[in-house]
Amino acid sequence: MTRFLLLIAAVGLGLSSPLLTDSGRVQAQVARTDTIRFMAATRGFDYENPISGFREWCYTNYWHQSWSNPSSALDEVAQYQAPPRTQDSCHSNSDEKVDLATFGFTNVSSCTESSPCQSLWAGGTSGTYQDGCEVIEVDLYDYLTWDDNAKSGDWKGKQRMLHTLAPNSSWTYFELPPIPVTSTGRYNRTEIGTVQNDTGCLNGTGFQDQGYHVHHDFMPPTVSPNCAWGRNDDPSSGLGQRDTDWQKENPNHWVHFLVHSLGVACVVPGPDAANWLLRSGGELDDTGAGMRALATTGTPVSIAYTCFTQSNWCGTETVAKELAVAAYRRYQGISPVDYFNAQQRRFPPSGDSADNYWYNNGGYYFNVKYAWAPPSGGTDSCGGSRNAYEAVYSVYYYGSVGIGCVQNWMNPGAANLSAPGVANA
Amino acid sequence: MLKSRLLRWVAVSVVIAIGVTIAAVAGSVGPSVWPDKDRPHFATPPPLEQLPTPLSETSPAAAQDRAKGIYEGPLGEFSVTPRKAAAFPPCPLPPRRAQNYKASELYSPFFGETLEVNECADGKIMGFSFYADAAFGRRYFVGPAKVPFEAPFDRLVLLTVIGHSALAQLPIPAYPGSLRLAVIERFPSGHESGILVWIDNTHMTLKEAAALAAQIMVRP
Repeated sequence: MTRFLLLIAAVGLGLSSPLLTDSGRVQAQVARTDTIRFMAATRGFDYENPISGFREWCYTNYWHQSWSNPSSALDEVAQYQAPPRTQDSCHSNSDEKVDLATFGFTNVSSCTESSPCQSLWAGGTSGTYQDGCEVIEVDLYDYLTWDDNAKSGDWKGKQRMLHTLAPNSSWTYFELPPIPVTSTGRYNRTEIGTVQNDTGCLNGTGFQDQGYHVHHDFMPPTVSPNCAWGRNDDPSSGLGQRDTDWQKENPNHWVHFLVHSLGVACVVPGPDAANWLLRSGGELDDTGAGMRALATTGTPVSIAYTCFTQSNWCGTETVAKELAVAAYRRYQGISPVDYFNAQQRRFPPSGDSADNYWYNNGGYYFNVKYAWAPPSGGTDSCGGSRNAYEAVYSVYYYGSVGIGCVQNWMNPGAANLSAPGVANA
Repeated sequence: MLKSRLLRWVAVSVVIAIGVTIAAVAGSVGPSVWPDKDRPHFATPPPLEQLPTPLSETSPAAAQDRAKGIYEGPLGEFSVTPRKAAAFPPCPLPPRRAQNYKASELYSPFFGETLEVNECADGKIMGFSFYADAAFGRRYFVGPAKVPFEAPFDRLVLLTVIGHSALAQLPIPAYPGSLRLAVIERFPSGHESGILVWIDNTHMTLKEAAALAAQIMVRP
């Protein structure tokens, strides 16, 4: 009973947990830990040997203010001559490119150079902040939990490049190729823009007088057992050693790193929350009285502000009657995750014929797709009436169990596609 | 005939999966605090140049939003000017590191301690900016309250935040973390600059963003 409710509670809070395995939801449980090293954002220049493939870069301002702790911003420029660092040897030019460059490795040996694995989904945008500073931002999401339909997933950090712009800098969002990893390490680079003469940034006080450069910082996700990050300030080999001759493609010449468990959110308070609810005297104690009261009255149960140190989470919880419904779905053999997902899904608007998965784990799916809105009404084969220009949807189901005799077409206006009908499908 | 074609168009596909392969589980290890230096590293040849793909090509919702066009012009007490932020008061350069930034009326205890803030050569601070998962700050402005928002008219919302005029740019469909908010804390008058509190590209809801702006504006 305890474990059962623990699982349900984890889902009921809308949280994902690696403990969740269910016959109705077959998901690849890949216990993979990926390390992504973020290399310099400045393109750099191969001044030593133009064919070596290593582009050198310098920094003009060591770790300085950013919102993270410790500060994680570095001002990067290209290096055109041998040290020491001077304006001639280290500077950037007006057309200098900036990149999202990474070196990614993983603990899974099947991720190889010939068959790399994807670790992070990357999406960027670029424009002018309200303080006048120009910027490119790249948000990073867990590749496994990224839902391309909903365009959301577990956030794993952000690389920011101040004083740069992407080609389309109207805050147009763009998707970058995902960040790959292999067991031996894989370098990856995507060009995303150019440096700017950002004299409008805080009226010049945010750009200072050092000329073109990239203020490169990393906004980390919440640190937890699933996510760690750092900056390269190792005294023996880190950026504090010197300010020149850093090589863009050298795997050890990184700027920031992120270590994350693939497929797991950085903060996963579900199990802790469940244990708290199930504690002796807890709101949903193991006697079942709390759950019975919730199901009987339907009144949400609120739990006071609580901190879970293990999962790095603080907040308040509200347990709603849907938790009891999810528990019942579990009893029926349906994954509570699927139940909650279905609750949050929608019919796509008319004209949007893109695939709209209510559930999709790659193996099984349930897809509700706009088909068309015929200009004439009529009666459908299920006996329901349909008005002219009423949207007609296709429903595609792929599962391990047949769903028996189902009407071969349905109309949202008809009773046979009621919410319970869809939820039960 | 038409109905039969319609039936085919909207037919429900019911397919029974024969088998599902569960990916093999390998080595469950929690993240280390530091990248493993002993791991063999090879500087593999960089792959071919990769290029970004506009979201409007992968998201119909984003494409529809984009097709509506960008609003530019007056809106309430604001002026929506894509790519152009509100003007700052004059600032003699070169800038220098501000030593007594807490004396600035722009400083808020919410910003914390030990900040790195630059000031103009005459000692005036143009603004406090912070770049976290969202970017936000408080700054001076002169002239019209320009906001560099870039969105269709139907994503721009006028509101008030603790009595101050505010303009929000609601998130772009299909992309989280793109809410923006500007609050006019003080209008410029005479020789006194206006004060703008701003938040860009946040995952917060509008209510949460307004609460953050209010926190910044509250004076001790």
